[in-house]
Amino acid sequence: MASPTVSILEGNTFIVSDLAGNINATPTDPLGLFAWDTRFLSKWILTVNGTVPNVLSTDDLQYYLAQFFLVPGTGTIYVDSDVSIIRRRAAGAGFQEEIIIRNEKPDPTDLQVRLEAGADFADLFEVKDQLRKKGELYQRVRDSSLVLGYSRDTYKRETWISSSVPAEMDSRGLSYTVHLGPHEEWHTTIDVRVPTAAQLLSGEEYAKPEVGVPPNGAARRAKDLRSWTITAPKLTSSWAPMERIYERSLVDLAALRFFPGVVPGGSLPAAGLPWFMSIFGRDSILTSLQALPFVPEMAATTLRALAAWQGTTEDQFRDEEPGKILHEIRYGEMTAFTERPHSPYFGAADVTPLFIVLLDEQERWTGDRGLVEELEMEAKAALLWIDDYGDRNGDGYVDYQRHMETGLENQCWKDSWNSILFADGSNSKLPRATAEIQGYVYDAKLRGARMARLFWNDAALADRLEREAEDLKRRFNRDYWIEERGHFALAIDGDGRKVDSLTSNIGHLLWSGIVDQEHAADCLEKLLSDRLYSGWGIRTMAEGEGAYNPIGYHIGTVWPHDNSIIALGLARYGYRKEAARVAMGILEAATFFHERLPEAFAGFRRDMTRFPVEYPTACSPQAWATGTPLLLLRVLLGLEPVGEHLIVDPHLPEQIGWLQILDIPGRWGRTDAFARVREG
Amino acid sequence: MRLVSARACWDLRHSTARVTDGSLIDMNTTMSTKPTTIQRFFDELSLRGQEPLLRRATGTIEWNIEDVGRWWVRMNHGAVHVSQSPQSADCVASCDAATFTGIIAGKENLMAAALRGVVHCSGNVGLGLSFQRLLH
Repeated sequence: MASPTVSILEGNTFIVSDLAGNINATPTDPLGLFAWDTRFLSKWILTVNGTVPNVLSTDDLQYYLAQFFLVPGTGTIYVDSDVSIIRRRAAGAGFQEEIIIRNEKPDPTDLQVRLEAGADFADLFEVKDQLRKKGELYQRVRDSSLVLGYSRDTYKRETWISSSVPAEMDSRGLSYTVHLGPHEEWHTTIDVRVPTAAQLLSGEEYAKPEVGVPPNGAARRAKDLRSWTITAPKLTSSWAPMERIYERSLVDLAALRFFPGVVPGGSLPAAGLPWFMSIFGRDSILTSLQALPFVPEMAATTLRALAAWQGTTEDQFRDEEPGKILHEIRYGEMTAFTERPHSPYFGAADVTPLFIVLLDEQERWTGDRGLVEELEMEAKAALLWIDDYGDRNGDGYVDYQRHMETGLENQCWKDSWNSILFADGSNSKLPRATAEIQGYVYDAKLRGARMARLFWNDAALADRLEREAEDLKRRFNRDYWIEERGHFALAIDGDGRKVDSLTSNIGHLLWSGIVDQEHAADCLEKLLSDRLYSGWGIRTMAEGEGAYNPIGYHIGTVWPHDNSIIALGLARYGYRKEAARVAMGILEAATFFHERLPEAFAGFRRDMTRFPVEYPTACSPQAWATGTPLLLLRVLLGLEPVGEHLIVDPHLPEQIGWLQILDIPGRWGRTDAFARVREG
Repeated sequence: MRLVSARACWDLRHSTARVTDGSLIDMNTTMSTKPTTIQRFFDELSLRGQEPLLRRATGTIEWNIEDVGRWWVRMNHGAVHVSQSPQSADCVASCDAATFTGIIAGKENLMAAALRGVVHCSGNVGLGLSFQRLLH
């Protein structure tokens, strides 16, 4: 298991260090100062008299702020230290770090304080895939700053480091000679700057950092976070962990906010730390959807940003097609040199229908018909893409197949290469039409019809979409059903074969409503069977399938967001008790992760491990895991907008005696929801 | 490879010639014909009038093509107006002729070029990137 780390972040800048505040990254560790998908600092080590201090304690006070309390290494824990060190670090356009050193004894002392600094300017893809750099690294001292730089042709990135107390600077760091009288204190503020978006793209020389300016906007951020949590609905519950889980979700969601240039002033959820601090179509849409009852405003920014980037042309390198909604945007070196297609990359077959789903769902909650009218053209282009480019082999189902090797092999949410497998463990053929995408398409057509009728004054389109949805549902229940196994196929592959593994995907079908009533009970039975349900949650793939692996990324682990969508699906079909059971398992799992659900955890049986086993390289915080408790609360309380009202129809698990949420925002203004466990 | 003279650029900037058949010439042309290609692109753009894909973008992008000329593309709820008369711009983008020819030919991606530093973009960057939508 990896060593414990401390992460702070702001926008798309984040800093991951060890518990002493130090960064000593190997090429493959996700430690460092990252911005624009690039590591701007890979070494940042504080030493006092040549040794690395010991950690007393570490606080990540806020998502953008951390404090490290240290003492110089004495070699033994039995000797009290005479010197104490505090590092206080705030993220923002890089980071600002205050270092305070106190002499605790009645005699003077002399100290050599050193900050070793280095930057490898690795693209996140290089960190992930262990690739080597193609350009030149350089270091120089300029204008009282240590400049760490990297250049490759016209591509140039620099980190500027300056200090409020003059330091001796060399190409490898900053040094201070500190003399402290009895009980005296010394401090300096070090400013580590990375370029802003404007500087990055303007090609101008980076502005010299303003030394001594208080940590960039820390006060503004504190105020902003207060208003974020004050504006959100208030939750109280007799089950104590619920409040902490809810609080954690809200704060992490605030931390994951990304401010896209194409929607000035708006924020949307970035996908997750450390690998995915960027706009991801699928993650941003589903997280916005999970958060609708609590933080509805993110949905509008997500939709506007994705609309602004909607595909307009056929571009095989980027898997772009007219009307398609993007998969991912990246800003690093490999994207700049088109060694990766993320400028933006469109390799996702499910995001386009999900875009329609979110557009309609946000109107149902917020009553923002203006947005539905504003995005009419984009929504119609998305609906056209579904029928046209979406179905590449003309069999009536949306499928996917990348055009180039740099694209994604699997363009559904289970996007690892070995996720769409037969029950015997063998891989399926491209193009693949995974089941849940057909569910999303069904839902998108019905929601498109509702919007066409109510807001676009287009009854003909509405009628057509409803007919197509009905036809799709009929065909799907016939073509995807595997009679001998009693469940829906995971996909239909390029050879027209039903990919027969039992997977969590069947739960998404319930959410979309594409499952005929006659098959719904079978879905329920399979989802809650011992093969799929671990006791903590529903596994991505059922135990007993050929490729099942409880620590396989998409073939056996439990994904909290997957479970939240399935719980919503179970509730849609009236299985409220089972939905509550799934919700409770995930919420209980959260208590083992300091209330912060990871992206995924191992699929081991609950009665075997007694606690949910962490998945080795999972993202945390990760947006749709962060949004999971919010959607689960919606499921437990049975929150559903109907006309201008919010219906509350709760069904709580026994562990939660009562639950109350005040000031739920929406088209009704603000309203409250209260629930108590039903007797008997 | 012959570079275009300043005099030729001046002529181009003040050219009032318009493409009448609406066709774009082959982009695989030599360096010396790039200014013509670029001029034709902007001429064609000015004839488009309405561009629904940009109906939510409002503002003016100044394109400064090294050794070729400057164009101001004003976008207002989908109406596109191209001019060579200096005016205030919300976003200034600059690059050399080869890069711009690559961009309009679809061989170069605007965002990747901006990240790489071959296109410089200042002001409202979001507006600048929306220019990519004119290139389909």
